[in-house]
Amino acid sequence: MSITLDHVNYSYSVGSAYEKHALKDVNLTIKDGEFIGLIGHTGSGKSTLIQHLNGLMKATSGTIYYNGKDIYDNDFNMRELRNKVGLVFQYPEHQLFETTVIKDVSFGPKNQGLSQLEVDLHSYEALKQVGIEEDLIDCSPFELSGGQKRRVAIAGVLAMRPEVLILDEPTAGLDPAGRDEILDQISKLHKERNITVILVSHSMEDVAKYVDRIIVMNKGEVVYSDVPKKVFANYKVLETIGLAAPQVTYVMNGLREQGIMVDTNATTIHEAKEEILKWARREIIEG
Amino acid sequence: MGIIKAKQLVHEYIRRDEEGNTIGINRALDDIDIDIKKGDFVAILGHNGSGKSTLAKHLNAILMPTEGTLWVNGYDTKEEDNIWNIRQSAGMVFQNPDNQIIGTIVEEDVGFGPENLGVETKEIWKRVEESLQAVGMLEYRSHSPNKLSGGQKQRVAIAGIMAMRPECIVLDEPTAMLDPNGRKEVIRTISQLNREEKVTVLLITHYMEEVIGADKVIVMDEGKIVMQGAPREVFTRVEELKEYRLDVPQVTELAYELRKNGLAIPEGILTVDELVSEIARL
Repeated sequence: MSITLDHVNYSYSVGSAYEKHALKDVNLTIKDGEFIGLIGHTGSGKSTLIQHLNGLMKATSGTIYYNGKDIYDNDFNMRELRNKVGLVFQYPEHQLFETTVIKDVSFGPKNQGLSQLEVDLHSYEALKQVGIEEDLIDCSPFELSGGQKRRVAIAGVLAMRPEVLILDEPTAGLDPAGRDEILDQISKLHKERNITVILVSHSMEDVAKYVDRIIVMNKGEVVYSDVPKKVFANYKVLETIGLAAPQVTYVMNGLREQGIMVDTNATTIHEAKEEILKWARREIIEG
Repeated sequence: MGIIKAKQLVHEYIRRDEEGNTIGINRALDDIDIDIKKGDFVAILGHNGSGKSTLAKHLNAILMPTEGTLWVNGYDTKEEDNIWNIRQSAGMVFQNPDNQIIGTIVEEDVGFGPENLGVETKEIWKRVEESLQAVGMLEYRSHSPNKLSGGQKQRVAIAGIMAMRPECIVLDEPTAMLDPNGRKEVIRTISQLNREEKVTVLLITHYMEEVIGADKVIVMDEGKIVMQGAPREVFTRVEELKEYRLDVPQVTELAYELRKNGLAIPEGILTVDELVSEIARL
């Protein structure tokens, strides 16, 4: 299973004074089971891109293939695509509407035409996957804390059993522990269920910690598409397009400038710690 | 007395059933004592549901104390007659810039506040210009706000508050919806207002990197103040912060880990440069 974007272009308000070329010749392949981080400053085209992946927006030119099938073909089943590519919008808790947690989560699978038994099964499982305890399932979703609401909203998408899960800034507004909890759960889901995850994030630290590959967007174009180390090695370029690298990248490069021979590739605290300790041991032994 | 002073401040959210009987009480603020000096830059940290936003709403008399007293610029928030004075003393900036901008042109939006205070037209224009200058948005004065970036919108919202000449600005997670650049812009603007215009700043945030420039950090948990001090003092207590569902900046954590592994690095490292020079000194 894979998603391929072939020369995808998208323009808003074509022919008017507000015409804007939001995606420019985007070519990408997202492989089955990948964990991808999508970064770029506000207005870089990230949200436009992800809305193309489940057919909410249609490319002005170019094609998207889902498992080798052209999604713009007349006989392509768009409804099925939307079942397979689950999209969690920013602040998804604003979309909660039912009277109880379980009813809200069941809404998606119910609309998929499943039997009540399957609906329940999928919904309970999804709630378990996001760490919502059973004693909360009959509560009103509006009585929950911010982090809990967000997890219920994500469960609503998971209950539809998507093959691809796209999350647009799932941690915005959460406290640090809440951020870690959600990302750990997503990472666990990715490993256990082998679903493809696309994480849109403004936190370079989070992206460095979790994803296999980073896609960097700027002005509607894909600027980089590579493993975190390689992308963050270009931290000076990233700064010119309104982004940055994790703080540890700056530490490692700063050390290097001071003549301390450490590998500047470290992008997480753990990697940086190991690298600096290795240098320290070497220095002590040599000294 | 400081510009903001709370004495045994308590706030309870009371849930009632259809007949009006109490079915639950949530003590969101529990015996808060604070005293914030004029001109200070104070950051408030705490996990979701710890009481930060409830406290912020008290500072603007949106909520009133269940018990205890809160004085803003000397005005007791329980007295209804003080509400306008309080709201003029403490301006609020919220998370979502789109919910706070009402004008169709930047300068109109900034002028809305002083206009409502009955300020003279000539004076309004003067304030609009000064406020936009202070947040670095003067060149956008005749733009439409909906074409601005998140960081720029948030700076316009801050200018709108500045134009009312408050003594104090309360910002409730002003950067939560912004990208890294927008976040930097807003924090830089807030620090500058604090330094140059001597405005007292209360910044509520979940981003630990944003509070290292504050004079004082207050940590809240379950409606209580559990830690307070200079950022350098608070951020040395890494394990304790994690228990309160918080974190420290990535460099601080790296320094802490290196120290735990036997490297002679001092406590309370807050910036990349500090850590680099400490390691270079080893």
